[in-house]
Amino acid sequence: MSNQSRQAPLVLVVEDDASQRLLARAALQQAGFEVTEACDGKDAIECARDVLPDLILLDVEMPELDGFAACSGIRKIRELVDTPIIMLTGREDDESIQNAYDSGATDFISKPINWNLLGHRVKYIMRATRVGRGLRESERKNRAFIRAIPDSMLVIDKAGVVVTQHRGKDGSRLLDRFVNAGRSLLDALPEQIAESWRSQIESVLTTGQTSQSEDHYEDDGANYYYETRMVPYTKNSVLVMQRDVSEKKRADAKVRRLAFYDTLTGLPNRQAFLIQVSEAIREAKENDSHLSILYFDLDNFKRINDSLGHSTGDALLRGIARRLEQCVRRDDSVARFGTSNSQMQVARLGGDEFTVLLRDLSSPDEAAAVAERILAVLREPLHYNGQQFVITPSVGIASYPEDGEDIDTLVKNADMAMYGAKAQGRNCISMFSGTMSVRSLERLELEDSLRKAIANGDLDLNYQPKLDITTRQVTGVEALVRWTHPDRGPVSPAKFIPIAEEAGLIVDLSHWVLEAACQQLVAWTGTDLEHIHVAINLSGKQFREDEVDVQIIDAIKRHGFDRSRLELELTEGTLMTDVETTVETLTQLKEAGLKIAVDDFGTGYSSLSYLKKFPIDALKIDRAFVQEIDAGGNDRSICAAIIALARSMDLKVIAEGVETSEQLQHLRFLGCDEIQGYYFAKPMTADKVTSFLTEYIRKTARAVPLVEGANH
Amino acid sequence: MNALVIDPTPLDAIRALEQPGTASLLDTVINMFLDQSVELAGRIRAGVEAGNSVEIREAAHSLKSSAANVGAMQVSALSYDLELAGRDGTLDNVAALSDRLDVALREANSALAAIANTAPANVEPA
Repeated sequence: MSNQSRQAPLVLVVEDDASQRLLARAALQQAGFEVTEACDGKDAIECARDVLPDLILLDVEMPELDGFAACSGIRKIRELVDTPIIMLTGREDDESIQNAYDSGATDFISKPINWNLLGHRVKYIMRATRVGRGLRESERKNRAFIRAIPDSMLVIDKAGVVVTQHRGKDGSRLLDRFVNAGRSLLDALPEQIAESWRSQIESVLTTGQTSQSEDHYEDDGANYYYETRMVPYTKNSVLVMQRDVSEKKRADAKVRRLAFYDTLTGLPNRQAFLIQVSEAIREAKENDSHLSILYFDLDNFKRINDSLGHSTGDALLRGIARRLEQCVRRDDSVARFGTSNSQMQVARLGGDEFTVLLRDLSSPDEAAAVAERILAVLREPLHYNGQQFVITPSVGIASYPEDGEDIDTLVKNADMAMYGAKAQGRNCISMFSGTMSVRSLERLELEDSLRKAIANGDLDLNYQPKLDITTRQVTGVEALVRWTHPDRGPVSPAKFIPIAEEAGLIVDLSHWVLEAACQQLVAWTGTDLEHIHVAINLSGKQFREDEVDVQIIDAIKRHGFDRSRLELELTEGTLMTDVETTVETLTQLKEAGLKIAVDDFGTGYSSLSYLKKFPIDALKIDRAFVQEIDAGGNDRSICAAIIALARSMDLKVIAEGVETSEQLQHLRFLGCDEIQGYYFAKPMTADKVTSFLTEYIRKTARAVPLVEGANH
Repeated sequence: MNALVIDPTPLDAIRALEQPGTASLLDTVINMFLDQSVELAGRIRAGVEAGNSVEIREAAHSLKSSAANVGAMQVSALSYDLELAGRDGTLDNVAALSDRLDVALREANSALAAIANTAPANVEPA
């Protein structure tokens, strides 16, 4: 407003008598007001419109337009609707006072005016006006505030009778439904809510404190949640503020679902499982009861994912999850053990690992029986897309307090026991036992790490070059798998290959090696190293997999390179098992163009008549014979015999583990074709072997005479 | 005698409003009244002679207030009677009232003139 910028409040004095104006001015100025004057009613309205005074003193009896008319006129000015107007009346006659109020006056002063009191009177009225304005302003703000908050409000008395109510912008299904349903809201509300409200009203009125509660109301299948707060309002009534938090509840539930549930199967996830276990431990401690963790891992599940795709794998995981849930929900055999259904909780920890938590057991033996029953259900064939799958789990069990008193130990031991079940040939149950030796635990741990390394491809291929003794040219490399354990560092293949074989990981491992070798061959295509062959070792287990030949040929086709660049190395033992099938498979591979070598020759038992049947290309003399070739024993004779045998069968001979020039001299003399070993080059990473070979080829190309010289 | 004709209370009130260093407010108000009252009394007299009740009421109303202002209570009371008569249109008694008003006004004005003259002359030309 324009008058807010003034130093002192401005009073408009409207009076036809000049001496009265003079005195009014003097009195008001003395009281600290600014004064402006008008001498008749018409003049008053114009002046008021111009200066927008903070207060108007208005004489009644004036020429032109009397005070009442002037007052009505001033009130029509928008800015002056609530400006205080004091009428100066001749005598305190009722009629003119009534007229003054009717025309919109705020107050009146009767003449003769006590000039010494005028200033005080005006100040007082101004203050009253300010207070009134403040009240109106605060009321306006309150109304805005109430409009803005989403809460519904109502004032109810002790008996539940609604005194006033206001519906917030979110509305209230609950109040809409019940507020007019009877005299007392407390009688109308659903019993549970009414009960809560009754005790809150009681407590709010006796203690004067506020209260807060949450009300749940179900209507027509929909769930409504309200946050209800009560504060004392009068001695016998309370103000109830009710906020609809249904939406927030739903959002919270969603967040919880995402945080604690597995999106694939809908089961509780690892976080939820850990919370369940820690609660269960606390409960078991209090009740002096037992609990067991059943740790399920699906046997060979990764192969389903790899061969049939993730969508099939996911569908099967969901199937398994449903079965586990059914096991938990049903049941009799559980009830027989006095365990209520709610005492079993299923979770998926990730991948193909599931858990069932059994609470409140009287003895851990009950757990084995429950596990047995669950296992039986899970073993039933699953059907997906017209195919039938039999998925067997291995189950490990650890119980509180026998196998651990804290969550970490329990979970670790259940996991350990599960690997125990795998080690026992899978598809079975293994109870954790304190006697599981440190060695076997270490072994289980290694197996677990290796499983993860294979799954994640955390392995390396190293390559060891093979040298043609005569031409001094590199003919190929043997791919050797390397594994670096995250904590223990490099683990020898002599250690982890047997583990992989026993744990059934060798097939996956070989697949990985095949893929990596193919990628390397592709990488060398079009470079100086295009003629370098890569040999991979094929384990007996992989070799006897159905359609191994098809898989290998498919892999080559997929990567698209000359098939003769990939060589396969098989041990004698692998070849001599099931000779008929071996011949068949080898023939397929051979016809497809691959080269085949017999690895570690001389260490196993080979039937020479069978050996003749195999479509092989080379024999690799085991390092054991090579190392002792110059020691004067009969190893040199054995090498000579192997070389002679190879010659007669028109096979190439490669000596492994050549470390010294003496060994090389002997082998050259005996007519060995190629050598492999530290003497020439040790196994190297892909990068290193690439630069090594590139450099070597460049050098030998320049030194042709040297190669010639070596040629005899 | 002044005390009988002029009530000192309103005059004291006016003195209380005076600011040091300005022309005497009381003198100004008294002088204004001296001029104004004679004129108003003339209008009343003319109204009485012409039988104009409106003129009587308006002039008497003004004189009533300004006389009360300077403590001329007798003048104010007579003016009020005249104002009421003018408002009601009962003019039977107005000539007598007007005569009494003239007398009272003369007495009051001479008393006021004396007060204004004896008032300390703290006039500072602006």
